[in-house]
Amino acid sequence: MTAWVIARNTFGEAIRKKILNVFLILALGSVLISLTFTFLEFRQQVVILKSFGLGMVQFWGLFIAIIMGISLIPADIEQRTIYTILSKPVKRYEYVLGRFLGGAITLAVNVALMGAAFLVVFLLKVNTRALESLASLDFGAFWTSWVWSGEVPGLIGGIAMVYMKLLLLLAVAVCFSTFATVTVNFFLSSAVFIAGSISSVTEAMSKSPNTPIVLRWLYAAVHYLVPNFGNYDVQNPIIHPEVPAADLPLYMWKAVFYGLAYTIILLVVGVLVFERKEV
Amino acid sequence: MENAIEICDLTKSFHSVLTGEDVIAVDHLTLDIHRGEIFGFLGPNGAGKTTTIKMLLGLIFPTSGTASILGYPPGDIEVKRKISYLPESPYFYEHLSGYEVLDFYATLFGIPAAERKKKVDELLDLVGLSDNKHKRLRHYSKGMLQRIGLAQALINDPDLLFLDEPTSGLDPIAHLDIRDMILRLRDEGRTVFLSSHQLSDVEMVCDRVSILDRGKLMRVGSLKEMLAGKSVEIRAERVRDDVFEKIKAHSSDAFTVDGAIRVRVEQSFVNETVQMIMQTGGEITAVIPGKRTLEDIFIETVREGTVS
Amino acid sequence: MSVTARRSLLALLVPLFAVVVWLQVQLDPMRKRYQPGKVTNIEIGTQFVAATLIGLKEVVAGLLWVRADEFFHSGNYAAVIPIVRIVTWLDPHQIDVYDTGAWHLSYNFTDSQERSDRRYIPPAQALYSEGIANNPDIYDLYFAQGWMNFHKVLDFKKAIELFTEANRRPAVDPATGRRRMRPQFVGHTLAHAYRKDGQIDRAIEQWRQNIRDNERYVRESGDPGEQVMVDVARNNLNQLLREKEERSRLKPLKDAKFEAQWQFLGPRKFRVFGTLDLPTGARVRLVLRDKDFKEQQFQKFSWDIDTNQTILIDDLYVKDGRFSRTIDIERDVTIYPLKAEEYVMTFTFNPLTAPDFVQDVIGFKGEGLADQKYLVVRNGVRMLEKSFIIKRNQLL
Repeated sequence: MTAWVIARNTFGEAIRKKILNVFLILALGSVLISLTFTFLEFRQQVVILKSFGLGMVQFWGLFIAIIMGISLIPADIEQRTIYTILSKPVKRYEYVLGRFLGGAITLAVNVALMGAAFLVVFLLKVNTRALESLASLDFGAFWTSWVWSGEVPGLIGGIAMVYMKLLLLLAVAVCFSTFATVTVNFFLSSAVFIAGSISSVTEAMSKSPNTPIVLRWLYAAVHYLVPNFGNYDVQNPIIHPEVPAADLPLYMWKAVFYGLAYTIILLVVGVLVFERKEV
Repeated sequence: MENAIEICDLTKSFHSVLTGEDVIAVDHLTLDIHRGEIFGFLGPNGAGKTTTIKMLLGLIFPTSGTASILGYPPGDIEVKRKISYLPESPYFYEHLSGYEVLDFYATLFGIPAAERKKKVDELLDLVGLSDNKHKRLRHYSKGMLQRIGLAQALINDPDLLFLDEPTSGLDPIAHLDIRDMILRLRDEGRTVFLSSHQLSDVEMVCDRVSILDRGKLMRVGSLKEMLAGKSVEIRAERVRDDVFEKIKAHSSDAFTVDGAIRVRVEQSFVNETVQMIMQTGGEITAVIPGKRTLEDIFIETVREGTVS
Repeated sequence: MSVTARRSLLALLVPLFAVVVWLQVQLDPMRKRYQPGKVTNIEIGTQFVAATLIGLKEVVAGLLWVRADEFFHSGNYAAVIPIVRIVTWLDPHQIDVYDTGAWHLSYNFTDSQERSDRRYIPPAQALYSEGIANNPDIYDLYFAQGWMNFHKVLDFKKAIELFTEANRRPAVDPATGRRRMRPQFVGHTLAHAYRKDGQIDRAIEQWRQNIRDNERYVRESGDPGEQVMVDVARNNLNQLLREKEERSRLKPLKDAKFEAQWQFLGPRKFRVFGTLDLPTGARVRLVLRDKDFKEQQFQKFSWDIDTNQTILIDDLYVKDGRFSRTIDIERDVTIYPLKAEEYVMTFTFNPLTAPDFVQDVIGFKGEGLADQKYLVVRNGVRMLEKSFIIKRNQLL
């Protein structure tokens, strides 16, 4: 409950943060830019629209997640607002959870806004008939024939995967922020993100007979113990719905559980460190 | 229970990364604060005042020693319901208005919504911010922020308040307001732990004071006792110049005003001085038991510390 | 937080990590299905790994392809192919890229007399095969590769195979991603391929099937405009039935009086000429190749062709019973290196590839064709063929 109060306040604070809003505006701008894309065949244009839209949501989302994650707790310490909070009947773990939760909500709202902009652009560019049903105020038809069919559910799934990836990154940054300074954390979290994003490389190297055995263990450790951001790169089957992607929903659920489990790990570590932190 | 706070052999040392040495911020501090008193916690900047408060609040952890607050260990969730803290130059979430920030803190105490609204309005009224309650904190002046700080420290009707430099940077009027408020808190039966280097404030409101210097407790006692000195002020008229010179040699403080003299001498020298004046045709107008200022004591204490 | 709580939390980390590793073990094999473009493929290079990191792999692929299109319009075909390679690595589902790439390979590398470099046919086939392997469930690339074999390679058997596969698969609406019926011309093209291969009864059968398919499509799509495909199929069927009927009565046989010769004009320059007593518009295929020429086989796509090979193919048009052409490959040393000691020069008239009005005279498979000297029967097709063995110094 206390954590929820802090989360709400964190959200209120974050949505007023200039830098995050700048990123959001840049993101919306870059998604809207794709309205002007016209080249090659229609099919090629659809591919670029989708990949660009999903890519932009992720690209700007990364900035938002990392900037927010590294500063959520240190900003309170820096500005000494934490003194008046922790001297109130707030348990330290409630504070950490509240800050993280607030960040997660902020991230969700940002990703949802970017995603919505992207879907609107997509429908505008690709499905002019969808607009006709909108223009004729036939919302039912719009909803059933365009929003809940065709590619939109897949794209929403893709946006959800981007969100899970960003949430995991946020948890990494928040966890590290309990012991690292903001600058150190920026590089640390970025490094973990990179190491966790090239998971197909780490996996292949850990299994390649050409890799020395010690390095194989090292790669395996990186692959299984570093948060695996690469798990969420499933945009390809979403960009190409014609390609059958067996068990994709099952995979996505497993990836979600993976992300949640890892987020809990990071929060537990963060809480354990923060319990002993001198503020 | 008689003591609001009991501090026993409390020590805090920090490891300096730069010099590689341990810096002792608080050095074996033992101190009791009685219930219902205003306790002045004095010391120059860097003496370890804020470090001590943070340890008492559970924000940082002692290297050794113990403390108990209202019978609880520092940082205990139960004790946090009964105490409050006004940090030095407090910052609050700037995106909130005065009303919202108090509402936020009240929510942290789990005060129900209806009661919260009443409470927040009352406090805003008390600290004189009712007219500005919907203004965002980023547009508040330093004095207004200090008032919000005080209001948030009162939101849970605390039994014990930690006020760290509550008057720093305030204009004289605000200064007085806050001083009055602290006195009122004592009258309501609360204990106030007032950390300050503003000696005049402490002198005017505190029941007992302690002086901390470089982590060490130098003095502690009731203000009355501490200020009550052994010197006596003698005022006289028509004192001959050679006599005045003689007295001056024994005096810590001697000057003339319109032909009248005022000297401060040790108790043991009072009879001799009075006799000397009367025998040479002078007229004693007053013999006043001397009183030292807190500043005297403070400077004296800190200087002693430096010498030792 | 109590020491017990702290220890419990620490202990909780162990099962949590176990769950995470367990999930990761399950995710890894599945993930490969959704993450083509193998970042592990060392050939891709790290700059593309960076694009992958920020989730822009497909964007990079798409934009590279836009760039390739510019090269294409400026005639820089050689620059297009490496981009095709990279794009299809990054995103193996951009099917237009395979199609366009293979088309460039098979058609656009040409000599100074506009003959295409036949050595690039195997890479084009390999590129199509790779594209099909990556996109096996839609008709597009089967049809595209079938078309190359039908139109360029003139391998009708292979074209039939591929068109048959295409004719079993759906298309995808790029706007919605939903499956839909493949275009109606796919079945039509299959029927044409049967006919070209001389399998007239299979062609008739296919046209009948097309009529049924097209009619069903008109009903199901509710698009009356599609009726035109039904009409086309009916016309084609009727015409084929008529042709079959007419061509079954080709008596007496037509003597083609085929003769072919070649004449050295200078280094890498010679004239080919001859006679063929068939209607104007018939074509004689000229093939000049290394004597031991074997078409390269690629297990996977590569544009590293054997540059020592020489193969030249040209079609010689018959006019008033004669054909003649000067072949000048002096400026095309890279395409025709002439590194071998001996060459085979073959002149072939194949009824299968002959236009309709020629087939009217000689039948679908040369049933009505006769010749004193050069008639050969191959796979049931009566064709004309004359070959020369030529030494390298005879050409230089």
